[in-house]
Amino acid sequence: MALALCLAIVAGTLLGALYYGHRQARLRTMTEWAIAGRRFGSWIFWFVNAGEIYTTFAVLGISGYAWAYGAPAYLAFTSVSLASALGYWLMPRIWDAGRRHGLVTQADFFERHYGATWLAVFVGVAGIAALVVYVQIQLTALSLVFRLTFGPEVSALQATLAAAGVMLAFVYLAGLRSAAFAAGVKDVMMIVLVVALSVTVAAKVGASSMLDVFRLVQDQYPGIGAFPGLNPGAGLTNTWLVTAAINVALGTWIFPHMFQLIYSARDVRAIRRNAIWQPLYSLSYFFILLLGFAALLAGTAPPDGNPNAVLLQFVADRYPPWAMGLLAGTACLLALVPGSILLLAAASIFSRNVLLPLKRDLPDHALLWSSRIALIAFAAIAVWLTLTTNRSLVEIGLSAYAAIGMLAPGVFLAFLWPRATAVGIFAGMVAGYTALLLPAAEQLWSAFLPDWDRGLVAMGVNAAVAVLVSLCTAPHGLARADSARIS
Amino acid sequence: MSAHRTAHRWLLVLPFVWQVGLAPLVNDVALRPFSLPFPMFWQMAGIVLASTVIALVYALDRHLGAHPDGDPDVEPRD
Repeated sequence: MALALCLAIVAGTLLGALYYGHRQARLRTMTEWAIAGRRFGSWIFWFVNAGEIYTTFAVLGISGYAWAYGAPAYLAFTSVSLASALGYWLMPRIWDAGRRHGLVTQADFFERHYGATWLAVFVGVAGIAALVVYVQIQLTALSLVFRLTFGPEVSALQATLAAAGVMLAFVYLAGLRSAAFAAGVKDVMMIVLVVALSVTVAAKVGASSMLDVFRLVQDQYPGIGAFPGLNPGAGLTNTWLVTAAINVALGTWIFPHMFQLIYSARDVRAIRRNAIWQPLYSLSYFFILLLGFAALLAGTAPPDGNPNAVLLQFVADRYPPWAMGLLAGTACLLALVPGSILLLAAASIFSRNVLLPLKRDLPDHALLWSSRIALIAFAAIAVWLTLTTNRSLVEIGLSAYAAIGMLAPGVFLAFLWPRATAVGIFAGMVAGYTALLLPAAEQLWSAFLPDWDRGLVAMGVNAAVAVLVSLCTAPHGLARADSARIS
Repeated sequence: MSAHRTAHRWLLVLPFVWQVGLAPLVNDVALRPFSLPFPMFWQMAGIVLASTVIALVYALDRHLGAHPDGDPDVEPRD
């Protein structure tokens, strides 16, 4: 029953998405495939944007975090609202640059603004790396759903390969327009399902009402509702919340797929109105935390104590099989929609900003096909990462933000400080990666900045070096003129 | 672009003050509004504040902006 429902949801959405995509299709050009011809109005922009924000990270990851740590799951409440407040200012600038210069990818932006193709190649590779880590989140979740639905006889390798296969099928068959349809379906399903689970959850765990669940969990687990939460040794303190929340807010729009999403908007009004409503939508994390706390009260024991599996295990234990089937199917969509958009962005960056500079005379259709082939390679790397690391979805998510934060100074300085140079931005990125990845740097941060989100520390190092080196190098004339126009 | 037409954009800092700046200060408040842990209630209120502030800035932009989109940032379409 559960299995059949899960398959029906995924297959039904895929078919609907294909029909929708083909009806609207003009997929023969790169611009159409990757950024939907810059024609997304308010509604469709909302759904694709929400599709990016409400992922497995939010639903499975945050419920697992609430179950395992308590208060640190509040990070979810800061993620959308702060990104929207910042995005209200930032997004129109990115959109305007995209429209005026015909940009398709994020690396295009760096190439145009800093007047340096070599920087764009480097930025392209860095962006792809962060996207692949983000795909890893989706594959981790998708293979988990497969294993819990199909049973333990499915190996992790089989489940992950199947997950990657379904995701590739999703991207190949259409493009961003189909993802928009699937994003709409999954958002509606997720909201209905989560609310339905939540209004019935009290009786499952011996509480008298939804809010009574919070009273019970605070009485039984003192300290769960405030930082540092249930496991003080984990370093998830107030300092962690503050630094991680800022890093997430600064990094959200820097993801290459978010750049492409911004380009796809029809006008600034669609972008701005979206920024108003998107935070309210994130109040639905209330239900996710509620379910995580309820799972704790119910004594849910996920396989291997894996927090990512808590919500699925809790629903399997306490709800009828059809509820589990609906949740599994919706969780698949939660992973597939963002996953396909991420792969799409990675592939378009590869062909435009890494391949094209090497071979300038490549025609548009060859470019499109090379990017479709690159998808497989990126999916394979994500499969490998998924199989070799074993971390919570929130931890993987924060490392994706740390990786993409390396591109943030280059974007923000482009709009704030005309003096920034390509060499400065490059030097900042090199310093930032060193601060992020070098074991000696890690020792330094744990000694002097314990509990700080490492991504934010590295971003600070990156920005400081970028400014210093920019001051020592000659500014680029084009970049100056360009930012003067946007003000 | 003249400064007075974009000064109200600084309101967008308020959600950061509420959700990040003040979060450590309210962490140990023992009140439980609607049975919720106070820091959780605080963050949810912060979301409502963020939407309100962004809507207010949008309204001011449309009121002050010369462009038909009501947008002082973006030049009119060529």
